[in-house]
Amino acid sequence: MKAICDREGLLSACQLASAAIPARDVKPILKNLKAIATDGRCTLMATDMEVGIRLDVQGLTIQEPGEAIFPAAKLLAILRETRDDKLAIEADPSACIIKGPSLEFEMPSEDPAQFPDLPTFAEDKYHEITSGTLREMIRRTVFATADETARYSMTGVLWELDENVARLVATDGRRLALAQGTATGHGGHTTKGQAPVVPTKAMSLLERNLQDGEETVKVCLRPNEVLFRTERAVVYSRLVEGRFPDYKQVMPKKQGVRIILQAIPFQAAVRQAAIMTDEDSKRVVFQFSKDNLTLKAHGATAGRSKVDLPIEYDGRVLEVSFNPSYVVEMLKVLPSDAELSLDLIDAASPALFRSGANYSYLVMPLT
Amino acid sequence: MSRIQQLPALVVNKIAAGEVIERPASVVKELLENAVDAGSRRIDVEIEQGGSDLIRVVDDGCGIVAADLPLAFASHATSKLASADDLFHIETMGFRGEALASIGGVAQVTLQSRTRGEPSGAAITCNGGELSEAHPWNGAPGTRIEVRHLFYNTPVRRKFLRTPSTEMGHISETFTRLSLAHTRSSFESDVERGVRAEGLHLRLRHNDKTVYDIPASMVLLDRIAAFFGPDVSNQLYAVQGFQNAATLTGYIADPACDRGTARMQYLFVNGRWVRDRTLGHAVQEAYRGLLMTGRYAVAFLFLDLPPEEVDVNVHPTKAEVRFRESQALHHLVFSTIRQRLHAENLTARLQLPSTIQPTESRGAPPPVNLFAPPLPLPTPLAPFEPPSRASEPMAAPPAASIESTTVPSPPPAVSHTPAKIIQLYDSYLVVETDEGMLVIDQHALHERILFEQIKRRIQSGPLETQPLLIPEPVELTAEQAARTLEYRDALAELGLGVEDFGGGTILVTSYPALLGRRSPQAILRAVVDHLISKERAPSREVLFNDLMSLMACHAAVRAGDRLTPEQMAALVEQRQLADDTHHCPHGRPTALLFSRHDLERQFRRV
Repeated sequence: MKAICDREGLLSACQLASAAIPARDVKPILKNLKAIATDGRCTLMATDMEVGIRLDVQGLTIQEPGEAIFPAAKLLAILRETRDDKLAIEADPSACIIKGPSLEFEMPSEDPAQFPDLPTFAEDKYHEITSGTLREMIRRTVFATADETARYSMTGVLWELDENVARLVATDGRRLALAQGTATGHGGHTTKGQAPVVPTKAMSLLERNLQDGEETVKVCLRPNEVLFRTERAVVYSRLVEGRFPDYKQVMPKKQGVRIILQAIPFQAAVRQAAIMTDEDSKRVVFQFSKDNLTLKAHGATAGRSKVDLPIEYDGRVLEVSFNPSYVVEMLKVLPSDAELSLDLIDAASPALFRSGANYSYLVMPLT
Repeated sequence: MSRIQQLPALVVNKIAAGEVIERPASVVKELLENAVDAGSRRIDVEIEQGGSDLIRVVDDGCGIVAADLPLAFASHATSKLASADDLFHIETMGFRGEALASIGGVAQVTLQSRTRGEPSGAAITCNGGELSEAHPWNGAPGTRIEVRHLFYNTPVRRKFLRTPSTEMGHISETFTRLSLAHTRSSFESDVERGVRAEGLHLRLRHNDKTVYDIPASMVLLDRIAAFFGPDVSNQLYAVQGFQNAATLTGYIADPACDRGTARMQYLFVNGRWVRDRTLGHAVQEAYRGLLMTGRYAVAFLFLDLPPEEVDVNVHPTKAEVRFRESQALHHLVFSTIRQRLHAENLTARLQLPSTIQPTESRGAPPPVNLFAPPLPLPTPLAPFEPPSRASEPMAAPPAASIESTTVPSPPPAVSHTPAKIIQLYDSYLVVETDEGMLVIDQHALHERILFEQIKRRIQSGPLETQPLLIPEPVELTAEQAARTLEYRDALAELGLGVEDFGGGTILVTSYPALLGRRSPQAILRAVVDHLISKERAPSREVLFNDLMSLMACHAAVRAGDRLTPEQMAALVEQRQLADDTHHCPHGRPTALLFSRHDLERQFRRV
């Protein structure tokens, strides 16, 4: 293939796509990006065999259609370090060459046929969600997923798609985030009877490709895989195997006391109190009394802290301890002017934070 | 016709011999003990062909009067016991009156003896239980017993004898035990109390070659050196402990001098070598954290207590005893050793390859020279001197509103010039100290430091528990699950909540917050592995220790982590602050010392 590209445009596309490249050396060819240039259009592909992306590159003038393999890290470095607006690209299976007015790079290449193919989106059963809504839902849940060391089935986000609503659930066993938003089903697409879990990596990759606007995203869940279609990209992922826990069971059924909190001052107070927690044993005590919240921490090596925050509260005196990171991580994904409610039963029962009608966050206190 | 009949004495003795006399070493043991009980000062043992041809024991004890000679071979005939009450105050080695009868039943024995008061002695022979007439014998005062052709009339037994060298090994071991037990104590306080004030002169010969010749004046430490070589005797620390009427004295070895079996843990109760699981356990517990798993400490311990506190009449060869207060003795042994070990600087010495060591070759202990000066007392390593520090903390005192007593004081500032530290292979730190070159395993040291920090934190307050919103099912085998549930309460105390889910599945409902970076499943599995591997129920403390080392291991810097100079300095600095930095929680050494002296010697400067 042969093309003239806009450096900035190619750089941003490469950065987005390279998020799918595996961190470990499993299969050497996966450390590359594959470009497919057809008449007037160029698509970049990257995958780690579990998750993959096809991304349209803009600002590219194709002189000779074809396919090419680029070493991702080197290509990114070139695009980042050079300052020319336009660069000429030329590639065949043995080498790829990038030229500017005053520079030239030549890299070894590989046979494009060796690169695993990724599905395209050609479905007629799918859900549509606006990009801004989906982006917010992902941001509000993905941080609560479990890391790889934990239970495998929790290393992703559960998708529930009803006719008009989408629900995303993530948990690591200690806290659980549930975000919902409007979605429109087409062709009877639903997740009823299934519990598809999309890997964290795919969710993050998708989120980076979403804008805040009104653009629509199409989602198609199939028995073992999921496809997302945005205007510019198709994100493909295999689903996480294993049974996601039944999140409805852990939702508190009793109604306790309700406390109204403002996200900004609350977050500030928790972060201040958390300064005096120990690295590996974080605990902040939340004491609710009339119109006041006192946050206290006492680290064995760090020291002590005490922070008072005026709140509107007229219920009984309550004391409950949390790992402050679990609270702060949730507050970080809320808009700064958000108001949230906290439902508490006692010091040992899960505490439920809510923001608006569409977001719930459940945390298990420390005992 | 009646079927049940009283067995003839000959048969009875052969049956008894099966229990008491297992192999030539058993004969040696019985005869040596008889000689000791006779008040001998010198005992000569001669062996031929591993004892299957000849065992001869000659002593200079009180002897047996001629009239008693035939009775010596009768079973349950003894001079050491008069009534049943005496059984509870046994101060002699033997008391049952079985040994000679048993030996006489399975060998050809000649017994010659003369008491001091009589002008001449008498002799008698016993062939497979058949006694000859006693006839006069003209020898020195004392007793001389020859046991020939052991098991000649029990061919199966004879067939089971091993090679002469193996049997000789067992005899040496028996000889060693007796020789260690009957030695002049190196503790003045013992000698003053009349305990082990006198040593026995013992000699062991095999096929006309002297194996050991132990003079009476040879103290315990020298005897240990004679039997086990200077490698062991140079690494011993003396211990002494008291509790009520019980006294514990002896030597324990540096953890570096460990062994693959517990055989080098010698325990003597009132001068008698015994095995005891409880006290053996106490020794191992005292070394906990200093030895790697599967390694055993070396110890020579003498426990003296009033005869009524211990029942020796529980085992055919008296190799086991019962204590009235075994828990108290466990504590005595444990705390005495533990305290002693804590007092030592246990930095492992770098072992120089033996090829470049100009001193004598290792291997079999050299034959003991009677006139050699006693070996020097073990010179314990000089205590590690912490570098001087400024006494005043640099940071300002904490704000008044906060209780200053519970706020940990900032680490004291360091005034000395930072030690030279270099990192090798991203895994080891080499530090220059006054004593020499210290090679530190960065992971092991950091692990130990963290271990102690965690321990202190746990001791300072309740353990934080993170309950799970969604309990985590962990599949175990039925045995593991049952074991885990058995310890449910103890685990809950540590913050690990478990519930039965049925069918070998355990639900983890909470875990210690300190272990947050590990998955609850991994925590439970580590604990379960530990529970299963233990024969006895681990105490709460042991479980605790294990969990803590798990935490420490996880959080510590790993081998392969490159450290900045500041990190290295901090790590080495913290080394001084921890209680026991010589071994990581798993018992591996954290540091090796290549002493300056060794360096200089290697370069032939001294």
